[in-house]
Amino acid sequence: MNLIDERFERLKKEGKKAFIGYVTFGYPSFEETLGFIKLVYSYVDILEIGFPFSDPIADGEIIQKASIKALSEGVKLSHLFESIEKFKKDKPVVLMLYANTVYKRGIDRFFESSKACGVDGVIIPDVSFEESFEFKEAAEKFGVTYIDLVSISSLERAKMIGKQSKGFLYCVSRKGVTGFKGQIEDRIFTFLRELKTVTPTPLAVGFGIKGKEDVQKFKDLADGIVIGSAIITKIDEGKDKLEDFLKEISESLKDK
Amino acid sequence: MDRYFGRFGGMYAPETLMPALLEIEEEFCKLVKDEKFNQEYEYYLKNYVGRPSPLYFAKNLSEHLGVKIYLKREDINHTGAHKINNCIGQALLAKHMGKKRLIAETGAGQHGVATATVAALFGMECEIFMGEEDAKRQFHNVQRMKMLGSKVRVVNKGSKTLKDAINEAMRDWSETFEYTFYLFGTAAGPHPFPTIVKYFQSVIGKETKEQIKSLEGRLPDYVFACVGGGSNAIGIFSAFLEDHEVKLIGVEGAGEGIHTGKTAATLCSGSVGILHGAKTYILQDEEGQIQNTHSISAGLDYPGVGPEHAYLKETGRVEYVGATDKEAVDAFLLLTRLEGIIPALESSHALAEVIKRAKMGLFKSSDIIVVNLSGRGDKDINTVLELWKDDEL
Repeated sequence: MNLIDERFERLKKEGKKAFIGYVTFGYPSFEETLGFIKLVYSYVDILEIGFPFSDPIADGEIIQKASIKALSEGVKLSHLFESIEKFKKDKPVVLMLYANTVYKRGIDRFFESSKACGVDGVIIPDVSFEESFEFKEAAEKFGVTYIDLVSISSLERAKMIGKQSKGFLYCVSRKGVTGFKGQIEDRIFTFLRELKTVTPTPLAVGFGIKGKEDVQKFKDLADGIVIGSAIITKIDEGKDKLEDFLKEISESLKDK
Repeated sequence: MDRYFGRFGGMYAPETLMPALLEIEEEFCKLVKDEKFNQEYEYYLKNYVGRPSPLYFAKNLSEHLGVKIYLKREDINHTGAHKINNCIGQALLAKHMGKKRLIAETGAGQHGVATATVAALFGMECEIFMGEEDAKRQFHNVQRMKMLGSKVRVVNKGSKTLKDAINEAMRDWSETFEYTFYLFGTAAGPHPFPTIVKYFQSVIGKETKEQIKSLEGRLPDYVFACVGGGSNAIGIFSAFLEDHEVKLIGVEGAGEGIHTGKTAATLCSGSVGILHGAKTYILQDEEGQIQNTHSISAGLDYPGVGPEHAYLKETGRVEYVGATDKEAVDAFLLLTRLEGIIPALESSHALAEVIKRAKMGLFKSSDIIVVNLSGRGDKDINTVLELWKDDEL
């Protein structure tokens, strides 16, 4: 069993939900990034590392800014792979990056290198279900889990995707890009309930989850919570603030 | 409807946008078969845009270069460029779909102005996304859009040009697609946009073919068009793709030169990748990061290109070359002086290639050449003034 499945199984037995935390590789600087990544890794159940792209159309302002800063630090994919090797333990690591980064390296070569350094899963937000098959084939060949995204904008498509999903199903909780704007719509709860009926894959909710209150709302319906932009904001406030935030989220997910 | 042109194209879009793209595809497929819709589209093309646009024999330029040159006068269209053909079509599609708001990206401002125009015509809310650099270069077009009642959102992220305007428009659309239609301006982006834009621009090629047959009794030997995203080029080329005796030449903005790194010549110096929803040629570094482009023409300053052009390059049906900033400005001035027509800097690139080949003696005197004059150059006068010295000709 791969680490992602193993982790969800264990959490299920313990009656807990997964804390999936996102950091942008290379942020806030080349020197400091590994320290922050390790800190987040120590609190989460699954670490999601975003590799920066110059044109991140699925990301909101906060992650976009972090990506631009990280790119100005000169980060390369090889640096990411080397870094993962340095800290990877028994918790799953998932990469989030854009299609062109994978395509440019060569799809097979990318998944081969990912597997070799300890990557467990890959999320590519600008690859639709329709275009995902060549990526999925390579992921499977090298033993990496390809994580599908589904969106609140279509339950019909979410069900179609959910039936074939692996690892966890990344449920985009709101229309638009990453980062918080306004209230979480109530229909996400019906969406999750309906989705649960067609797929045994754990459901992880992300996009716009900013703190403990949002986490509480999803605890009964989702199997995991993804927090990204809020972590980046805490990185800006320094290690202590970030650690307090990670502790708070982590504890709120473990409360029964 | 096929998503691909050979191995190029596709729908590389965030899942959030997929229902919106699929809905547009479905509605477009229905509408193109609807006689009433086509009649309405043609009504506006004729009575609002002013079509058919003339195919003008450029006598003075022809004498100067020693070869017969015709100009397809898209510059005469209402709003001054070919962009309006696509905007009328897509705005009617949006209306049919019950969308209340149009958004669009723009580089040179011509697509922004055309979108703002159709929004005014059809009484729709409109917001135009424009890179800060482009907004500075095309100040008057920004003012025109505002006068037409549109909002202009100046994008100060990334390279602050067209690609960043597209990124920002996509972000807005992923949040607002329930009431917003993204009126994509060029034959690039995710499926179905390349096919839709080609459909609405194919009127250029259809007219040209009829006009040249009636004027010369035969097809042209060459058709030249400039290529940024490639909508005017695919529009004129579309009618000739099966006529293999017609040589089709796409001219990209080479900036300071194709291999100088300061270029927008995607097909000439880029490589295959995935950008803005499609697999196509793009300008990228070794890590797959999108490179900043350079062209004197804001309308060509784009690191991607429509996927059908990538396919036509790979199959060899169309030859793609680059013209430099300087060559384009020289062509701009030459046409202005010889014919009293001020061409857009975009179109000047296509003319520059004709001039270059004529000077190199690459044409036969019996050759017939058509150049798609995709737009007029009023918007570019400030840019040219920075370089122009009146003793240059």
